[in-house]
Amino acid sequence: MKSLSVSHGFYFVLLLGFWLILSQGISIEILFVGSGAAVLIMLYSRSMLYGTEDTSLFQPRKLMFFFKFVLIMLIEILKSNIQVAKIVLSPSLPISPSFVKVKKTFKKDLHKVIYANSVTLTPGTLTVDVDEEGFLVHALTNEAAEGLKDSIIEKSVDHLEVK
Amino acid sequence: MIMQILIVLLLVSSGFFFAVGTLGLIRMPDTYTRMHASTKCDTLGAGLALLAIALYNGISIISVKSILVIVFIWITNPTAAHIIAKSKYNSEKQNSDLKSLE
Repeated sequence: MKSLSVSHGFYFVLLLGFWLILSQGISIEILFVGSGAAVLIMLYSRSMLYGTEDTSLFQPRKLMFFFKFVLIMLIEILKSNIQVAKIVLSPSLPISPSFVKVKKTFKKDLHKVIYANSVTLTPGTLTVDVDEEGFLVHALTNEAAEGLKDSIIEKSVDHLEVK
Repeated sequence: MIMQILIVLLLVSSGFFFAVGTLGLIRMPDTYTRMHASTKCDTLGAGLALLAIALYNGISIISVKSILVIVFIWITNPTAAHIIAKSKYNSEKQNSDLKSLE
């Protein structure tokens, strides 16, 4: 295991904070058990923790991009829900399902996960598979399939990655 | 008063989206399209209901907890949809491979 660093401290505070939110009140026992649990979780999942070079998400600039991304996602989720609700409620069921290959990769697994999950949450698209070349996406309608090219999500995740 | 109207509106639209999701699950023709309907509408359905709980309780620990539940649902829901779609895709691929062998 790598020596203790700032990122370990960050995860410890994050996990302990989450524990304190879930538990009723603060007492010595709760703090003690929570600290023990946080350390155990960090030991168990240490291969998934960020290294020191990956903690760039916690820089203020990066955080601003992240909040912007969350805002964009909220709007997209709202739009996608109304769109899918319209399709389900229309009597003729106007769907034209198809598979689309999105040739776009990100360097880090974290950004792949963010992109794949965002695509699943947005209008009529569902990520089916991820490989080295790109993402296999199932689209509910033709418009959804066309909307995948140079989408606003792709750009936002790019922003998260590069800067 | 305004708050209560907002909460009722949130709960009603939450119920609407859950109903649409369930209807979509029944009406859609295959697994993938069913995943579209159920996951998307459940995301907003559950999200709005939990947001209504958060608003009803004002600024308290219960609100923080329900916002956290929204965050976790919105992370795990697409992941589950992805796994179901992928297993369907893989089994289809296997079947077509078997057919081409015959």
